[in-house]
Amino acid sequence: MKTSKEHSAPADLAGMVPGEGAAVAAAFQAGDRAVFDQVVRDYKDRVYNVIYRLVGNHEDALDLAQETFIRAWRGADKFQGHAQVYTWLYSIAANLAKNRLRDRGRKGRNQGRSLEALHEAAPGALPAAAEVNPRDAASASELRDALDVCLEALPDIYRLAFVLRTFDGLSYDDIAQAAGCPRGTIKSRLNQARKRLHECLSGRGVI
Amino acid sequence: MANSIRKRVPQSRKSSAELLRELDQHKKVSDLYGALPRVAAPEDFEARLAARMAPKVLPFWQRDAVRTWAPILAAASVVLVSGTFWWIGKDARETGVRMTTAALDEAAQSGMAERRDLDGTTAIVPEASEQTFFSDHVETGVAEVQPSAYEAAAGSAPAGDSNMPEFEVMAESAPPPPPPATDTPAPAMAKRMVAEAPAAKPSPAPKPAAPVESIALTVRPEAPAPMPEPKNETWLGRSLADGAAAVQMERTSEDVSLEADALQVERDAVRAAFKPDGEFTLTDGTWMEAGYEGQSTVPWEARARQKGSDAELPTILIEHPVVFELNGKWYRYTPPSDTR
Repeated sequence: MKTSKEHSAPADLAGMVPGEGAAVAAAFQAGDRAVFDQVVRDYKDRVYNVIYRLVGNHEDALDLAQETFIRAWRGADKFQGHAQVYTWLYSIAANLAKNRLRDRGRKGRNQGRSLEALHEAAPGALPAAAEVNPRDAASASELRDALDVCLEALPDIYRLAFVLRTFDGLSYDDIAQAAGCPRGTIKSRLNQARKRLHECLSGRGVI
Repeated sequence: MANSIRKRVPQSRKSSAELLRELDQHKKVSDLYGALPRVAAPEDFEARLAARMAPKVLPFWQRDAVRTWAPILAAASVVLVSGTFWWIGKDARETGVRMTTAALDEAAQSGMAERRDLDGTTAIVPEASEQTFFSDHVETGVAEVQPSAYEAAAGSAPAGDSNMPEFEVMAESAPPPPPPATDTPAPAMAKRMVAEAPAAKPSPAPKPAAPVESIALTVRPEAPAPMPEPKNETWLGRSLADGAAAVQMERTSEDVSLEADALQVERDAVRAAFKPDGEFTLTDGTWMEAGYEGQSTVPWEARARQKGSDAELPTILIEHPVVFELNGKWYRYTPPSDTR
């Protein structure tokens, strides 16, 4: 059962039934570069966005997103045919992000997001750019910082589930498949993630 | 069962204010984060990815073939260069050997001897170094006084008499003689008197070795001990023993007539007065004879005055080196070390 926020497969691959990722993997193994380019075009933004929310800066997000597709291309033989292509990509991306965070000690998260981008993405949540005055800008910056800090404070396992659910709208099953854990575990992690985020944001006066 | 539970969830949700509040909190959190913009990949993402996946053109030095063969070629180059230097060095060494051989030939012609050791090295040894310095000195500068000459000087001893007094006398410039054989008794009398031929004339030094080009194959001989310089001062009655002062010897020489004139006179008395194995020491400025007929010491003067009374005492033994004049020539007598 998918909620309204849950994303479906991209249009170009929408025709693929579950398990059709095996065909993509076979094409990868056969060296079909056209299929690979199509997969990159379909999933690059989603993969990039998820990785960015996990690692917190564009430089690492770009590097890891590229590395995700490269590993998928070179490791197609490890792909389990019953999975979706994007869950396969997310599982690769999640492992890469986890390793990167571990390597750099989760430091240096990029704070560089513009108010215009926030406003365009969520017009109701933040004031419009034209209406932004210095006080509102400062307030928006504080809100953004609070959201980042609280998300960063989450343990990796909670953050992965929360990011995949909130920013990409994956179903519990897809998140479980990407994270390599049972569905109930994902629901529990999501509940814990939201509870901790609420506490953190309440402590900062955001909520 | 499950369906019944699902049907009761909305009712429980509506009835539980705490549950509603918690759901509301979760919704607010999700809305806040969900309001954040989706971050899109850079426009050139595909191009960057393609460039990253493209096979890299490695630099020359990073290619597999170069990495494989470069160490081998480097090692071969080292071996080649080393071999070349070794070959050049071999030629140089052979040239050095030839030069050394020529130098050895030249040295052999000029009185140097060549010695090949067991290890193959070549040493150039002067021929003179194989001889003792003493023998060389005797050959060149010391003449042996025959008993007949001594008898002629003495005038009274019969020729061929085994009881002839004998002195081992060496020139001042000569080094001490080698130690006597172990079977020789300590108080043995000096066996001969060696007259110094031209004492002031130094023996010729060995000719220096010819220059040798190769140092590695040449062992230079040890330089001979420097010749003692002949002394030109007056040696009359001087004792050379440590602690035997020249004054005492001078006084003693007056008594025992080591002076030229007195020696001639007193020597007859000495030869006539003392028996073999008599031992004389210079004690407290007086020449003493030890071991004579149970007497520990006998003043030489007293014995010397007993002319004719002890004709069986033809020899004397002096423990300390002394210098005296005999027939117009000066001699130094050095007793054997085991008698001192």
